[in-house]
Amino acid sequence: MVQIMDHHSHVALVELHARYSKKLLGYFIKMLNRDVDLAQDFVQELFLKVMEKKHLFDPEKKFYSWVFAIASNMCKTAYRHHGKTVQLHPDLPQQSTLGENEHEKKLFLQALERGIEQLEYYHKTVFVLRYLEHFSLNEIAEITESSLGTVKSRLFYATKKITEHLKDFDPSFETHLFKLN
Amino acid sequence: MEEHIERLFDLLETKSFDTLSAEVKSFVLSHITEAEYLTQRKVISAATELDYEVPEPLPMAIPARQPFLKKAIPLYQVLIGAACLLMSIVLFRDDHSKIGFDLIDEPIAFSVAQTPQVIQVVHDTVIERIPGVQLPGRVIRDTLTVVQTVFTNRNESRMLDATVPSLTVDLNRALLESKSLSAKEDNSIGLLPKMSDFGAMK
Repeated sequence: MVQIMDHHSHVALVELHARYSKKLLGYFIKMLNRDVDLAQDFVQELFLKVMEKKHLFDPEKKFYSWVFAIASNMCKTAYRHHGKTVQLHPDLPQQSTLGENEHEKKLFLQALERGIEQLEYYHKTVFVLRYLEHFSLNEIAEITESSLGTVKSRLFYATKKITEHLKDFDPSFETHLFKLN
Repeated sequence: MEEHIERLFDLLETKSFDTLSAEVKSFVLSHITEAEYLTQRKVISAATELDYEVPEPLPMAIPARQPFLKKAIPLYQVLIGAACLLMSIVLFRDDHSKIGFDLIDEPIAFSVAQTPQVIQVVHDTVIERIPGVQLPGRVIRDTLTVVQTVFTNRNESRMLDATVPSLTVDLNRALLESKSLSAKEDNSIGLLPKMSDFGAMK
């Protein structure tokens, strides 16, 4: 598709936009703490970058890895310039008021989301790519231009930092509400 | 340490705490507590359930291509261009065109070139005829050109300048054009005293 772009730039770009824009928009929304307007702008800007830098694409690599690498760099710049963080919600519910029910699960997810938002750029990127965008570890290594060991290490510390915001929750209700494996 | 972290991560992603063997449990507990392990597992599992509402992306806005002259030029490119222009002016400047004043102690000597003055040009042509051969035209062997010149030295300082160029030209022309006459053809010969008169005077 990128090779076609050389001759029919606009048509190819529209096709690429149709294929990848929604997934990229979702990624930007997660990385930019649900700022939908900014995420929409980033998607537009990203495809303009793709058109401008199409000569930098390596045909031996996957296109979406390259696009997500550009998206990650854009987020990195945004974090550097704007310090994209949100305040931790002050009225985090206490354990005593929570029961093992759907309400508790909802509160837990809210706290988890805030924990993700509080992560630093490098930890947040790998966490979002792995558990929200469901990329493989090798793909994340390719996108972030780092080794597999670094990706695993960052993921471990990312989850560890998030758990610091979730200490008030009883870890025992995992088996009831969240099934893993 | 890095290897331990990677192993812990692999365990967190794949196995619950209850399914770990005693040896692995001791390894895990040497780094984190059981509660931390459980909570991290919970984070991983719950993250997949997070609901992010993603709206439809805006249609692609492809900017129209700007004409070359309307394209914005970055400031650094303008500065580089200006620097190159300035350097080329400095490096390739013609030093002879520099305006300057040099003061010298010695008096300035003026001199006027001695130019030859052409007073007559004589052309002569040598024509050779080859006997026995009838040529369509004359064969010109050579053409001679004689230029008679008079040199005047204006640089000489004389009390009286005897060589007035205009007079010299006229005089020379008169001499060249004059024809000498024999005594028989000269009518003015009669004005001269006769030789016999010299004998009577004795």
